[in-house]
Amino acid sequence: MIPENEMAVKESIKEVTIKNKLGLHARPASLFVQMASRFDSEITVSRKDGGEPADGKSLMSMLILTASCGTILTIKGEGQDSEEAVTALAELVDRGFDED
Amino acid sequence: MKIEQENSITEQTAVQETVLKGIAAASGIEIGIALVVGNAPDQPLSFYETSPVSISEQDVPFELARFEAALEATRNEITEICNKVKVSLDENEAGIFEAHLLIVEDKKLKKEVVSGIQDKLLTAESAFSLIMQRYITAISSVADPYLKERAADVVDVAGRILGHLLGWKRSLLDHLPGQRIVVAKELTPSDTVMLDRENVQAFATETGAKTSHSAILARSMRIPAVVGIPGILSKVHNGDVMIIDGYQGVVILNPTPQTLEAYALKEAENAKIYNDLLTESTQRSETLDGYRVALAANLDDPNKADELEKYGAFGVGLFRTEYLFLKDHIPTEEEQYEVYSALASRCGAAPVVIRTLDLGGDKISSLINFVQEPNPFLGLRSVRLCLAYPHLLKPQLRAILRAGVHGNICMMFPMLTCVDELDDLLRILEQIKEDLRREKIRFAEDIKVGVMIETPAAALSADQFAERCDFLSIGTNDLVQYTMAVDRGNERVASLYRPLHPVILRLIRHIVKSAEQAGIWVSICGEMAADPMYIPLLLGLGVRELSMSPVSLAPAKHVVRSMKYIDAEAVAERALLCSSQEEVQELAQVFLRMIAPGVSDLNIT
Repeated sequence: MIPENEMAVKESIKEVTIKNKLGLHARPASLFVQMASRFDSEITVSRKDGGEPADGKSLMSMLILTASCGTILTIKGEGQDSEEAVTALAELVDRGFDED
Repeated sequence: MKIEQENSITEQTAVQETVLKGIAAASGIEIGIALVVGNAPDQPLSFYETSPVSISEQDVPFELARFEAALEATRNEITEICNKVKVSLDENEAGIFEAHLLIVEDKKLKKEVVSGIQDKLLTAESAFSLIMQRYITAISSVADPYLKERAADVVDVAGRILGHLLGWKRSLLDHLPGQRIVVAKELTPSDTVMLDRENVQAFATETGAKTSHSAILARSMRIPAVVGIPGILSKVHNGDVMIIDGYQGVVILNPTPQTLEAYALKEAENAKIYNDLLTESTQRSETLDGYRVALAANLDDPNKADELEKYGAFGVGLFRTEYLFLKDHIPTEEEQYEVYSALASRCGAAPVVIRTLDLGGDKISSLINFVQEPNPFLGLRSVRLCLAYPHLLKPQLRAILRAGVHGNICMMFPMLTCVDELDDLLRILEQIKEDLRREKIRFAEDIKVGVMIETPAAALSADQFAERCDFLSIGTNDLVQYTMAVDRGNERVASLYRPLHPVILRLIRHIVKSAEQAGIWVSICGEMAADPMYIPLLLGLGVRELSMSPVSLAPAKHVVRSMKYIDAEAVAERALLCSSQEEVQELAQVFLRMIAPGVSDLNIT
């Protein structure tokens, strides 16, 4: 019954740069987590310069990315709504979390 | 022989027995496993660093439940702050607390802590601390100074959760993992309202005195307690084997096999003496020269009414109703009526004295929005609270009046200072009777109304109170505390709490004489009434009714049956002329040893 093309997990990836002055501290990170949690897809975020990838739906996990202004992050979404999720999250980061 | 001795020496050094001295608060001996609760400092925690504490497999569900509840409590706490901040200030500020909330709800974090408890068998606080420590180190190691500082948010939330884990006594006490000796800084009535009574073997507390809540509770539960043990929380760990000696006021940590054996013997001996005393409980409560003394029970659990006969109690001299108010909602008139009438019918013709709500001081209910008072014992407590919030008092008075038709119920008001308070209360009572008549609801028209004398002001105007009511009851715990100006729960001044000081005896005599003149009865329902050493003095002063924890009744009856009233009167006369508590104590001790050496050796308090 399940169409073959849906058996494969949908995946989307986007690269963003942290633009707000104060970096990914508790408040912006929580905005990110809140938005990520609205989607069904799994979201992982990693620093381009290496290190453990973070769970985009876990604030603690996002906080230990310790991404300051200028850090380049890769947002990866896996699941049906991954494209919308990654687009929305990338926009949020691009807007500088409406902070500055 | 020689080899055995050597063995015992090595064993001793291996287990390191420690003896801690405290105040004997409830008699008995128990040997068991320690459960340390609420060792949180009074101020909020910044962060908690300690070596991880392991648990056994069977404690896992318990630790998981503690963790869940700590998260829940923290979530509620932050939500509340969040809402407050949202109303008062800027969105940004609230955003921070929303972030805090996300930390509490973080699924990844929770999974890691749960695994720490389940797989590594750590206590909830150990697992949580270890994991949080890792996160905090990671965040603080970043070069960016702003981000580094933001570790503060995580530390803040971690501190809250830990605070709940460590300070969260109540629910911990609801479900003990098995038979345990509860070790705490101090237990308040709200901590113990849901207490898992089946599994508590004994109490040991760092602060407190003979009359503090945990001591009273222990006596009513017939379990040993030692209180006022400085530094016990830093010396005992969960799972330690310990002995509580409620006779000597001693706690022994990690006892040697020799000590254990000696205590097992002692336990058996004391149990025998107590059981011998119990056989006397069906006999008349009368002095050798024929004076009758009414011995009644203090009760807070209506289900314990069945035990009254076993211990030889004549009715209930004090039924505390606070416990009905320490649960999850304010009890309705109907709920109270059920409890009171069931109790009254169980006691038949014997009197049941129901004390109206006595909250405040150290008895705080979360149901009633208390203002933090700098000096709660001198604040809006007890009957003052009831007069300020009549909606608490009125349903209770209606329930007591209605239950009165099912037995011999008397009503008693606590903590009065001036007669005009009694006049106000009697006016309210009259109004309620009028309402009940109009509603055609049956109630006890001629219910006896009494007043607790527990402040020096009330004691000195006992004659005026006696003219207005049907009986007086002396609450010695508060009377001593207010007269001597000593907080009985404060271990730094507890030694100044002197129930046998001649000034207390003088107040008691004045109250008794006032009652005699007005032709009404007077009883004592404080802890003094239960002390075999004090009983002859109290009877010598003219008191004819004593009310105490059921467990104390057997030794009390033995004392009554062993003495002559005229001798006790002579001792009391001499005691009134003493100038210090020590002199009175000496008189009382000599007298008790003379009339009832068995009880005096047993040192039941």
